[in-house]
Amino acid sequence: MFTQCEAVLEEKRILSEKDAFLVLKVKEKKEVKPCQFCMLTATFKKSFDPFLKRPFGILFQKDDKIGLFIRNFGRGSSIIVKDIKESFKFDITYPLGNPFYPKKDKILLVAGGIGIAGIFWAGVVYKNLGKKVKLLFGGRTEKDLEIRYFLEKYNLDTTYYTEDGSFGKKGLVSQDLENYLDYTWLVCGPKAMMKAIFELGKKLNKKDIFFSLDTYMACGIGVCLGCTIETKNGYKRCCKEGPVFSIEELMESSF
Amino acid sequence: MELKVSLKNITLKTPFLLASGTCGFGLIFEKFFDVKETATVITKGLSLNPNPGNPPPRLYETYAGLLNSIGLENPGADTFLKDIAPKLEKKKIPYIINIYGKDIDEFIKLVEKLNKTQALAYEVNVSCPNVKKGGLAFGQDLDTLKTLLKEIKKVSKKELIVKLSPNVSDIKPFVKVCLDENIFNITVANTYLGMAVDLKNFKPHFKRIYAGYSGPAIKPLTLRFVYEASKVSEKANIIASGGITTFKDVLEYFLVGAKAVQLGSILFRDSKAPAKFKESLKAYIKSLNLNTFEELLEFFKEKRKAWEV
Repeated sequence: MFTQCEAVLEEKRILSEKDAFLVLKVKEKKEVKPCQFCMLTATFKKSFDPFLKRPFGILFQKDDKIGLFIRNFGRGSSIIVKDIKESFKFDITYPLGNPFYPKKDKILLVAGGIGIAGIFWAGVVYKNLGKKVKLLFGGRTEKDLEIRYFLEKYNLDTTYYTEDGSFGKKGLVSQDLENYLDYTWLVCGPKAMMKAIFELGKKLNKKDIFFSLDTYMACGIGVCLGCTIETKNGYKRCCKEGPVFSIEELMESSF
Repeated sequence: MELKVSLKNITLKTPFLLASGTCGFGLIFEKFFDVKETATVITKGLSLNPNPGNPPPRLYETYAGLLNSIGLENPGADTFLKDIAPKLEKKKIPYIINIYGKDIDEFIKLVEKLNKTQALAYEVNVSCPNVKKGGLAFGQDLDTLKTLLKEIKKVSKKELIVKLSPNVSDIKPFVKVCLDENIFNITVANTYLGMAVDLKNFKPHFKRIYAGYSGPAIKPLTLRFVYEASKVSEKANIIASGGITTFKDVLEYFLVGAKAVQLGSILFRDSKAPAKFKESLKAYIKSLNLNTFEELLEFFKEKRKAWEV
C-alpha cells in the first residue's frame, strides 16, 4: 500500500539537455511492484506553482532508494531536470497504480525513450521471479539511451535500437517484434510508437500485448477522476485501474 | 483541544471538510490520516443513476491552479447505498452526501433514496445544469434555486447545505434565498467557469469547452464571496470552499466569517493537509491564549466588527 513522505534528492545526473537520472532517498520504504509509479512535487520550497504533483515511473528500487528517469517535457519536469539540486526535499506519494504480473513465462519489454522508466523495474522483478525477460530499448539517437549505464547492472537481456544508427541496431524498436510472438509484450513509449504496436498487434491478432499508459494526473490515488482514458469497457482511471491496459480493452482513441 | 463547531443542526468534530469531488468517498484518505478524528467527508457528487462523466481530456493545469472537466462522474445512488455508505458507517467516518440532478424531479427521487443513510446532511450542488431550463445552472437563477430548495425540503429527512455557485455577479441574493427557505448552512463556493485552448490544433482543450477552475489561484476570489455571504446575516453558517492551500488560507477564511472550511484541490498535492492543518489550528488557538475553536471564531468576529466603521 502507498504512502506520502519526504524524498531527498541524493544524486542527480544530467544525461542530455533534456533528460536527468535521479536517485531519491525515501523516508518510508514501500515495495515497488511492476509498473507502479510515484507522484512527485515539482516546485521549490514555499511555492505552489506548478500546483500538482507529477507522475513518474519508478525505474528501480534498492533499500530506501528509488531511481527516476525524467525528461524535461513541461513546466514541472523542467524544474526537476534543470533547477532542483541535490539534497532537495521532495514530497512523494508512492508506489501507485495497479501492479502488473503477466501469466506467461516469456516477457518482452518494448521501451521507447523515456518509456523505459515505466517498465524497466517490471522486467527486473519478472526476472527475479524466474521468468525469461527480453528488453528492446530504442531511441532516436545514442543520447536517448544514456540511461543504460545505470540499468546494465541488472543484466536484463537487452537489444538497443537507434533511429539514426548511432548505437545498437539501426531502426525502430518495433521493427523486430514479429520475432517474439511467443512472448507477452509489455510496451511503454511515445504515443506514436504505442499506436503503431497497437495496430500491429491487432493485425497479428495477438492478444497478450499490454501497454503502460501515461496521462496527465492530478491526484494519482484514484479520487480526482482526471486521468481517465477511453476503453471498450468505458472510462478507466489510468492511475488506479491502470497504468497497464491490455490490447483487448484499448481502442485507438485510448492513446 | 476542542475543535468542534456547530452549524445549524449539525456538529462537526473539526472545522475541516474534504470537498466534494476531490476525495472520492473519503475512504482512501484513511491511508494518510485518521479521517474520523480530522475531517468530515463530503462525497463525490451523487446522482440518481450512474454517470460516466465527460470524455477525456479532463484536466488542464494553469499557473497555480487547474481546470477540470470531470463531468460529475459517479456510480449512482444504488451503488453508493450498497457498497460505499456501509463502509463509511462501519468506520464511523462522518459524511455529508453531495447531491445533484438534471431536474427537480431527479433531486427528489435521489433524496428519497438517500434518506435512510446515516449521512449528517446533504450538500446540494446547484452548479449543475438544469436541463428543463436550457442548461442554466440552478444556482444562477434565484427563482429556480428557490423552487429547488422548497421541493427538496419537502422530502429531505436531513439537514441541507447549499453549495452556491461563484459564477454569479452578486452572491448575496442567493444567500438570502437559502435563508428565506430556512436553510442556514451554506457552502461558498464552487469552481469558477474557465476555458483553455489547444493552440497547436486551434481548438478548445476540453470537448465541453468550459471547465471548472480551482486551486490556489481562486482563493482571493472566494475569500471575497465568503466575506460578502457571511455579512448577509448572523444566522448564515458559511462553509468556505475555494483554493485553500496553506494553513494561512484557512485562518483567512475564518477571519472573514467562515465557520468551517473545505479542503479541495490541495488534497491532490498534499493528501495529509487536513491532519497538518488540524495540528496548526490547535497551536494557533493556543498561541492566542484561547481554549476552543469556537472561541477563536468569537475572537475573529470581534476583530471583524472594527472593519465596518
